[in-house]
Amino acid sequence: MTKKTGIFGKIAFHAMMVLLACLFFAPLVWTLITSLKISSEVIAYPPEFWPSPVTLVQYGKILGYQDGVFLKFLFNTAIMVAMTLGLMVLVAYPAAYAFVFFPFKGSKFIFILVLAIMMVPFQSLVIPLYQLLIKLRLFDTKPGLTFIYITYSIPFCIFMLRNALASIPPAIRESALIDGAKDSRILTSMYFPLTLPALSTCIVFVFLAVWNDFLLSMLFASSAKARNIQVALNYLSVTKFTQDWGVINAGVVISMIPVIIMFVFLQKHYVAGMTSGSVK
Amino acid sequence: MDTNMRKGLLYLTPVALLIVIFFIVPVISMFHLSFLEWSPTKANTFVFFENYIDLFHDSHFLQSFGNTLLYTVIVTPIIFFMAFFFALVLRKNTGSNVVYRVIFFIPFTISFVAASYVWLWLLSDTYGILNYVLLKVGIVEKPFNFFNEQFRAMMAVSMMIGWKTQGFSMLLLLSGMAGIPNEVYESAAIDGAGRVRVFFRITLPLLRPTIVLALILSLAGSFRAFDQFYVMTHGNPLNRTMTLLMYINRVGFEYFEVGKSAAASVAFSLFLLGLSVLQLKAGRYGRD
Repeated sequence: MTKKTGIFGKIAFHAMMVLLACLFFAPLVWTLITSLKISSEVIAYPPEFWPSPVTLVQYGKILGYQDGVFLKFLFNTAIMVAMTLGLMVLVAYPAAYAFVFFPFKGSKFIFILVLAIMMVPFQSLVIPLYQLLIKLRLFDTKPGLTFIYITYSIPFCIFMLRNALASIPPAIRESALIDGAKDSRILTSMYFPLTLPALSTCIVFVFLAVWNDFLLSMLFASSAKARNIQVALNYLSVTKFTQDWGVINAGVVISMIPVIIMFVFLQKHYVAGMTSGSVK
Repeated sequence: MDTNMRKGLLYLTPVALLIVIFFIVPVISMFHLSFLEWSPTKANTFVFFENYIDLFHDSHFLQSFGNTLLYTVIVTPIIFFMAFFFALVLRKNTGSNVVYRVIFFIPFTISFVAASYVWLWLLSDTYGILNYVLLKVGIVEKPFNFFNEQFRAMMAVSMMIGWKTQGFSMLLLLSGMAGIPNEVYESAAIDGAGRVRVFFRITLPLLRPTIVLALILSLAGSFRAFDQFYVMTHGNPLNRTMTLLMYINRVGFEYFEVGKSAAASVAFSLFLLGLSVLQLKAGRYGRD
């Protein structure tokens, strides 16, 4: 383990890793390449590797379908991601702060209750949740789905933020209190900036959970008003663009771009947060 | 009421509201529904455990349970060995390894739906590039259909899932490996232990809690399988890839047997709850 590897060993290692990385990316690259071909070339046999000509016609087809309904689904998803993220910050921070700085009889119990949500699979609650949304008149609405997203992703966020807040020396808060600062101010202007790495982890977690959700959006949204991109992708592939692989692959590429960009920006904090948070 | 309690309750009110409305109420409602003969037109009747008894006489429930179990048995080792391999070769914190880790993690960020379509396109028996390569190399004589038989379809989905999700287990295992103190390896080197010996006598035993955690998490994940089968196989051929969640949804939302669907949900939740308890135990064991 501590032995020094020779230069040839190093070259062999990197050659193997680059090869594996290419293999790992090959499915995604093939999807991207396919999405840039004209339809006759998509199904050509033997398959051509490079698209000639390179075309965006497949993207035009999916984005132009029914006056841009696909864009509407993208917009729905983005709105729900934004609402869930906003709610997460507004609800999870005060909760995490209370768990760390206002311990009272019963707060531990509430904390355990929060963690219990992570243990019960929300997938098994779809029927009662469906009935609940109908009763609250939130069925087929973006706020309805948002409430469910936030409820089932907030335990992880509270857990992460609580750990982050607890690791900051309490002396900072005490001296601020002596100076006459209020807790709300301490949280927003002092502790918030100090917990940005943990917050990034939560953002990635929530973003992925909402953007990539399929089951909840399929069951709790019945029209273009609230359906998300994953349901749209499935719906269009099954109904309108059956076996039209150029269009399907273009849709897949569009649906992946936001998550990949988001992840590339936040990956450093996410990888660090993930590895410290889940094992301890 | 002391100040802590007053302030604490104030700060916890929003989250408490969410939990009560969108978690506690549905959980109670799920238990309640599971004891009812549900009807859209007339009043529901209380039938005690009849739904549960029905469940165990329903061949589709037993079949979907068996399918999910089979899938779990196939996919768990695929995810684990891929993740373990990558964690092991990338465990040193060098600049290039950090980049490789991100690369091998990226498929995890893609949705199950998108990943399913990426792989359906690769594996298509008419236009799939994989079949083209297999034909060209001469491994198969005619295009291979990956989805017309239970085991093949399970394997195809498992390969996709291994590719998509191993990154998460890899991160867990990496964090476990980072937790093993360097001194242990140094003293082993002084004692003249070889690589293989160090791996089996040091790395593996000290990593056990993390390995257990990674296995339990991927087990729980496979038991919740829905999207990948919904898109890739739709439960075919002949319901042989119908998972538990597909069953619960079908019975509840397509056949409107709400009571039975709720009973299946309760059974499913209790099973996963059991897994979570094991997970907590594994986590605690790791801390000691």
